[in-house]
Amino acid sequence: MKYRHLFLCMFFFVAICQLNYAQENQGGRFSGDLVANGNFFIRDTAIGAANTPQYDHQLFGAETWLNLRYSNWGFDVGVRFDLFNNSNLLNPQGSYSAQGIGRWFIKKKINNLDIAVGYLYDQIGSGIIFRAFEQRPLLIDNALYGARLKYSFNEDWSIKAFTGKQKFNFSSYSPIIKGAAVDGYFASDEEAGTNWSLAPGLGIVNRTIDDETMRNIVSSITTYNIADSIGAHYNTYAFSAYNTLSVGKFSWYIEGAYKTQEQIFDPFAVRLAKDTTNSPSLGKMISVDGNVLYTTLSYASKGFGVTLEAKRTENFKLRVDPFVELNRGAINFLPPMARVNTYRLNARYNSATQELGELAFQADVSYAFSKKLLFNLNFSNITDLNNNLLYREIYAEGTYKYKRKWQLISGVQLQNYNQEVFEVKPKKGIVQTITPFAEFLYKFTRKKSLRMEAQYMFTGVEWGGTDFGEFKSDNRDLGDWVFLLAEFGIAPHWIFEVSDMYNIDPSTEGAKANHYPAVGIVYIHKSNRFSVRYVKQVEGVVCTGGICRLEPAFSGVKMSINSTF
Amino acid sequence: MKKLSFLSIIVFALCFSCKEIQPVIPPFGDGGGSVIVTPESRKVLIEEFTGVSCVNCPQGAAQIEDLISIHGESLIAISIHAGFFSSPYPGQQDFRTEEGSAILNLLGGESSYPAGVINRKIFDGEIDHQVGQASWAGHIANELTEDAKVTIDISTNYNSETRKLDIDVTGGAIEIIDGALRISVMVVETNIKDKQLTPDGLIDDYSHKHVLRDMLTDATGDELALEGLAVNETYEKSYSMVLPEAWESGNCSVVAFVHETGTTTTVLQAEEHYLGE
Repeated sequence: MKYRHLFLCMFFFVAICQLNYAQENQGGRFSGDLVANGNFFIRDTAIGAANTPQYDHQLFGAETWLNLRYSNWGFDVGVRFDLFNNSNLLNPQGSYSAQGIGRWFIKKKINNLDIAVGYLYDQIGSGIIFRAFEQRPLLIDNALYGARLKYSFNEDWSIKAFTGKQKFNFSSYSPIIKGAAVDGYFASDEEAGTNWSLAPGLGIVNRTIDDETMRNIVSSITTYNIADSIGAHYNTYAFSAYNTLSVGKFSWYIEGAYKTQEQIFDPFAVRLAKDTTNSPSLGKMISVDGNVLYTTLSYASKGFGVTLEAKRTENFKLRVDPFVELNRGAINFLPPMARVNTYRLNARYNSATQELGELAFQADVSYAFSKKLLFNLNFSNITDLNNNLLYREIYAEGTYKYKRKWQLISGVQLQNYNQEVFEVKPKKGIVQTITPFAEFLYKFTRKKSLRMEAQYMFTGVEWGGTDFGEFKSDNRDLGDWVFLLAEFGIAPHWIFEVSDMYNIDPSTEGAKANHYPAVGIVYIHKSNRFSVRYVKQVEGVVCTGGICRLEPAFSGVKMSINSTF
Repeated sequence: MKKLSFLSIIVFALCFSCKEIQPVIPPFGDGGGSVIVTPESRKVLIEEFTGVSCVNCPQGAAQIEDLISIHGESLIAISIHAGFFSSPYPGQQDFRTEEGSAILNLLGGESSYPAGVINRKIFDGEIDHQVGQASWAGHIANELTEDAKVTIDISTNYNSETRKLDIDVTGGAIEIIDGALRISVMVVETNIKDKQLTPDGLIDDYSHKHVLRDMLTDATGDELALEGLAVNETYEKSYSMVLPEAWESGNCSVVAFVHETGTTTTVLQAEEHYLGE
């Protein structure tokens, strides 16, 4: 710890000295950014915003990330200070407090060799076998704490290798992760009149379990009935081959990945009791290999674009060890196969990627009839490997722009959402929704504008056939919703917002129809953004991978500051 | 390109030429009955947070029964009904207790159910005391390899007419123990037939096991030793209560455990005593 502090002191000292020197001599560059969130918790038992430490007695929670970066003499160094005070990001029902250096790195390029040490973000291909990334709203930060070397043979070909441990809050998981990838690029001779390019790649990742974790694995397997017993592997290897072919206006990406046999925890696997007089239960480690095939084909010309995607996943759970749960300890990232929706009600139901078995297709078409009129159509269909429906969506949206005065976006979304699988709610089956929506933006002047949104979610509305496999389809979940928003902007500094999400027709007879309002102000000054919002947010129970977790309702004031320098 | 091909061949050849020696899975144990349990034997406490509307919790309970069938008296389980999933259904008895809610807040607050706390320790790689079902077996097995630092002996006197229960908890330190210590004493009832949500729907006569009914001490325990215990230093605590009519005394037991306090809350030893004994 003391050497870390010493390093930091030296870093800041050198940085500050050089900052002064560099400002005079323009020899280096110092930059950074700040994200700070503060939440005041206001108890509201009517919507269930209560009975957590924050609502009971802590009353305030905060998170802060301060990034500092300095580049000079071919070096690129960075450090990030993280702070969590009574934060509910890590556990929405609990309180997390910690602070310290969340990340540091040093990078240096020597001729064709790139050297990087510290906490590193990187991926291989599309991330199917390896992705180290950060996603702050979910407090995902699985940076690789280690070293990476990348050698560029020329402009088109490079090879990289890395080794380290995955970051876990302010420490790291014990298993070792290492990997390598080769990436290349071929392109046609444009002078010859052809126009194509190839970007192939090969990757490999290996995870080696440490002795302590293996002792826990062996102890667990020892408790299994002999019929459920499996072997255990210290090492898992994942291989990936990928390529992007671009020909004219077409682009085709394909990636295939294979993972060697290893022990993974399947929460739905039937486990025989050790004492056979007891009933079987669910959840045990199984030893399987896995594979993923993923491809996208896109075409883009002036005013017209089509993207087709397909993915098949089988037993591709790649974690630091079989005991980590939910979104912790993931070494890889499987691309989601449904549209990312931004409107509140359209985004209420999302399909969680299923690591153990999934077959998914998605198609997206965009067409501009003119500069004024645009159209987008999206379709996605996701089933398990037994052809039981998990998620289906049809999304159609039209945009009309009238000069620079006003703009209207309108459309409809149809969803089939398997709540029984995604939220582990027995006998619930499929939630069917139809959600028309509209957004209107009107510019009074160059600086003043008004944006309004309206959505209505009908639930329990049958559409699109009955091929839901073994699941029923009359689930209304919490019932129908309406969402309205008005946002007034005074460029370049001010945005004022007011919205309400209303459970206009609850599914349970006699249930109270609650309002979930929000009022907010945003102030932007140069590279600083300040916002404060009073928010009430509906709660929900989310069950994934056999684990149920309550995402509680929120009631209170949220403040945030974003600043770059 | 030649450099690249050569490197690729080396890398992939290395991968396939490496073969590991897999760990040996020991022969399957036949349960705690084959292990002679003495007052000095280490016992492990698992506190499971659960609720009648937690659909996945029955599988956690089933795994605990499985682990008990393996470890026998060496494993002591308590099911604490607390949090969002524990509100009773209409007409159902309420398994929640004030102490249970306080213990939940003490041990990390409500997170993902089923969740278990093993010897009130925060294990490496975990963010708080609560660990998922997948890792219970491993942590319990590792804790059982530790030596017991203190003994606990429970004796009870129960009057079936007045339903008055008298409890004496005695014990002593096996080795020197530094730091403040506390003792928690609970009354637990098992095989309570009542509603429970399961993956097959709501069951009316589900058998609830090891349900925390009441605590004779504070939720955080009673003070046992402010400055630890010297070798062979003894302690003695006495408690009394009247069992409510709704409780089946024959299914009740007293659980006592000695634990640290302050920055660590590790349980040093636990013991269980059935009223019928």
